Amino acid sequence: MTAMVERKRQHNLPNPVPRPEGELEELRRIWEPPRGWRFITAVNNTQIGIYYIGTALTFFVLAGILAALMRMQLAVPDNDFVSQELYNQLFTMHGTIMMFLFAVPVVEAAGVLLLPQMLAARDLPFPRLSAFAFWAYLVGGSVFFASLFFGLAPSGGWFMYPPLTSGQYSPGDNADFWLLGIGFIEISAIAGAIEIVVGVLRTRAPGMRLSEMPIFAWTMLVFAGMIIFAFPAIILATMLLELERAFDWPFFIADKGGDPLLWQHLFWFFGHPEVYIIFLPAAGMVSMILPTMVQKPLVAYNLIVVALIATGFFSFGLWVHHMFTTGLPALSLGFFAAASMAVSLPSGIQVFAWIATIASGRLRLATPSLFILGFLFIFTLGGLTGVMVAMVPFNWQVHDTYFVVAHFHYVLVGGMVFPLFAALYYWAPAFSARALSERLGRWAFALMFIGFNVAFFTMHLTGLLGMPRRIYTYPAELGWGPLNLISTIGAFILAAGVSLVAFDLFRCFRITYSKAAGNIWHAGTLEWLPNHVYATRSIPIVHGREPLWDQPDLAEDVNAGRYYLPGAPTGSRETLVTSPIEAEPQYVVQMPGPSWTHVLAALFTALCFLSLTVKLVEPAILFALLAIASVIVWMWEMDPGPAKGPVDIGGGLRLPVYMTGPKSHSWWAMVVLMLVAGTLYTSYLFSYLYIWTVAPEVWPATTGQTLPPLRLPLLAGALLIASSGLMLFASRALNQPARPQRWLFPVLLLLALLSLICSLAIEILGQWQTGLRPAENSYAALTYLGAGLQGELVIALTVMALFTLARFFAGLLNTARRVTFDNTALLWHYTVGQGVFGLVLLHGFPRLVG
Amino acid sequence: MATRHQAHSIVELLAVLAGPAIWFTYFGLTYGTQSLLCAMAAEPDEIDPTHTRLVALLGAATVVALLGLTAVIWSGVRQHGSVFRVSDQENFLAHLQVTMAGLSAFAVLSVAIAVVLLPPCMRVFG
Repeated sequence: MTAMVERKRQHNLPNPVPRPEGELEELRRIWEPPRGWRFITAVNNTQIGIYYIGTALTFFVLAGILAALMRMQLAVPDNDFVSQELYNQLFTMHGTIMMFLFAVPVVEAAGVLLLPQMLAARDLPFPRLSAFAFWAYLVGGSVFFASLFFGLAPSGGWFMYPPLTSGQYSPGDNADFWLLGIGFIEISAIAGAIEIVVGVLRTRAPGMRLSEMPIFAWTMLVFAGMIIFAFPAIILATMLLELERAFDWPFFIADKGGDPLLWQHLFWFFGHPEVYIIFLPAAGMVSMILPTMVQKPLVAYNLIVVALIATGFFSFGLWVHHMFTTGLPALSLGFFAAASMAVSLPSGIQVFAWIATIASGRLRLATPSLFILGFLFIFTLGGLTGVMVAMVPFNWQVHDTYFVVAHFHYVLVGGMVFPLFAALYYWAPAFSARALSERLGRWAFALMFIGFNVAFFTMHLTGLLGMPRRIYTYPAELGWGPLNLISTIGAFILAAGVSLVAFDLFRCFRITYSKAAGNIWHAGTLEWLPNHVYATRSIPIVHGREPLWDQPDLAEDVNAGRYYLPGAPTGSRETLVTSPIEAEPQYVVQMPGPSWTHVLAALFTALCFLSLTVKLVEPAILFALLAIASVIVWMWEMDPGPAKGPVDIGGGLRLPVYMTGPKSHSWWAMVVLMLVAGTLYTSYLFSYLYIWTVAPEVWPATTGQTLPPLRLPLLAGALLIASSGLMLFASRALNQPARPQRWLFPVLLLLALLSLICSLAIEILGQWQTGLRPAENSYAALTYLGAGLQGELVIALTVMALFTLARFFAGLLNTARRVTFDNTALLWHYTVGQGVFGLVLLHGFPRLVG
Repeated sequence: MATRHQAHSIVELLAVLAGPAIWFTYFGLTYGTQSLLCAMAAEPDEIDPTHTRLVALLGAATVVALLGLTAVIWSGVRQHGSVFRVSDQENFLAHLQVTMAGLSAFAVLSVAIAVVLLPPCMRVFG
């Protein structure tokens, strides 16, 4: 009877066994990563994810060494271990590296490594994009760190406030390294975020509805969404400050109508979501690890999802709590104090859900659990001091003291580092031939927990005694010496704990695709399925949140190839694209393999930014052109067309291998990119209106500055709208099968491009002819910046239009194969919309307030 | 048909975010309006005319936001019956929609309290 039931169960699975001979070998061959030094060209998410995490952990250790040097300087009063300038560089680099080169990249890397496995996808949907993001991060981060050894490290604090960081008070290239380096790294992060959004929403295993998605996937979705809306603000801010430093465009110079507070608004609009961007994925890791350690499902899954989304949203309404001492009106402070306290609610929901999960079963006290218990203790304390500093009067007392330093280390180290180390010990067996040492792990935890609390709890007291931040020494008579010495001792105990983990990793971690230590924790989620270079042998149909617990035969059936896509019907790397909510299979996406193009694109982009930093303009232009060329070659290999499909994936399902329009995953990626562009422009809009409120005296109504005659923006607007119209006609022309009419397409596309470019030219020339010059005042600078933001998109669209034309003439763009054009058109219409809005703003607003 | 189904799915997904979106819009308008009106006031402490205008505007915005959130909650409950039966897919999204809107209402009220209690344009330094 049991055998009959078993036969019936297997009969209901999509694909029969035994599988055809050679199918598995072909799958392995297609997914085989490059060997030897060609590892640089690899795109497999496992490899890239491990490189990414390894690099981030290296930066963590390097930034930790900088902190150790700082602690040695502060250990005793009146110390001269390092000079004041070097100390300024140390705290700036420590903060910048921890926040930009460790915290965000490591959680993004965890997503790259774990998400495809958790979703039972063969890889992320744009493998070369995540590889590009990694190489851009590695090169950019390394160059940035190396600035320390050349005396070029920035010294204005990790948040680089003007006017200290303006050209007048920070001459030299130090601040430029920060501005251009960080701006470049943010672009890398955004690329990763686009990948994660599309991956989570479109490549889940069939049957994995949103309500059954691993909680880590939810956190990464929220994380990526927050990056999309937060990072453009810092990109704009770095653009503004760099334009001011390089070309004297006065955005932050009060004498010329600028305002240093604008930087603070832009920075903290990014900066506060940033800390939740760092915390949420770590919370997701905790939500994955705890149920396994307790062997019970996560309690209150729904409420945790609510808490994640709520945190993501509310965190955008808190930024001014970093500016409570800047003299803003009391009501403004009240808004942000209220919001800052409200955001603790969703965090509290998560903490109580975790406690309830622990209480629902019996916690196995292995190393991952210890780090999680440590996290709960430390993060909760950090949250409590967070509510304290959210109260405005208390904030005024402790602002810029070590109390704040203690607070944010409690939330960031407690909230991210401890879960991260739990994750290292928990997931290492999935990717390494050997698990990490339980004995060393316990010692590491003890040292880190004790060392951290000794180092940082003491800082609450130091801060309440009045010790300011960012001072390189202090006199003995203030009585801060003993507490600082205790902090220093604690810091070295913490460092010893981290060193043990590093030693354990070197000793035990051996990357493997197929011979991993395996599911030693008896976890229930899909990343613990038997893996190989191709991820799983077949893509399962999933029911429930812990499929390995709910479907005991799942691993065996997946490995035997009984589920979807047990082979490679198109002969290339593939995975399933599914619908966003129900996860129903929609099509098979053909994905690219190893290549040099994305590596070169990352390298040349980094070299372009480096050249700009040291003001070598001609090399910067050359590297920019080389980067564009690399991207063009990369893109040329994409868009394989529908020729190889539809294909049989099993279970009677024949799916297309090509999709265009709103169902296409690349269309979704373009929509996300447009959200980034829109947020960048909204940040600009905020800056424009903000500067008007603080310095209306530099606006034309007061200065008498002539505005361009209305016919010019009207003409520019008409050209923009015509450009959109021409693109719509071009889209129709592409659908014409008849050869004689197909000449229309390139003509229409070129006319659309010409209209777009002429519109921009009319706008810039119109402003120029009035005698307005960008270095004059903040109004002028903002006016030209508006045109500049439009210009960036126009340049990108020029390249994309010419690329599209090239593909058309090469016979690679037609009625059936038109993703390239459709995605270009999407960005085109967005650019036209932004352009029209910009014209109304730049020509309407000064007239309105005049 | 497939496109309509996909569009419906996207609408369902976006409905979950309706509550926080209303809060965010309310927060942005509240802060922006207060900042602009106070910046435009001849004297920062021009309390009476600006205060009354501002409280009226922000009060109206608060009412509109709360009504909107109520509509979102009601829509979630009406479409999907008891949203506390969370075992199936439809109720999962409805549960998210209703709970998010509830949390957002709390956040709206916490901002509104500041409007009622604090003078709008008074600066605390200088």
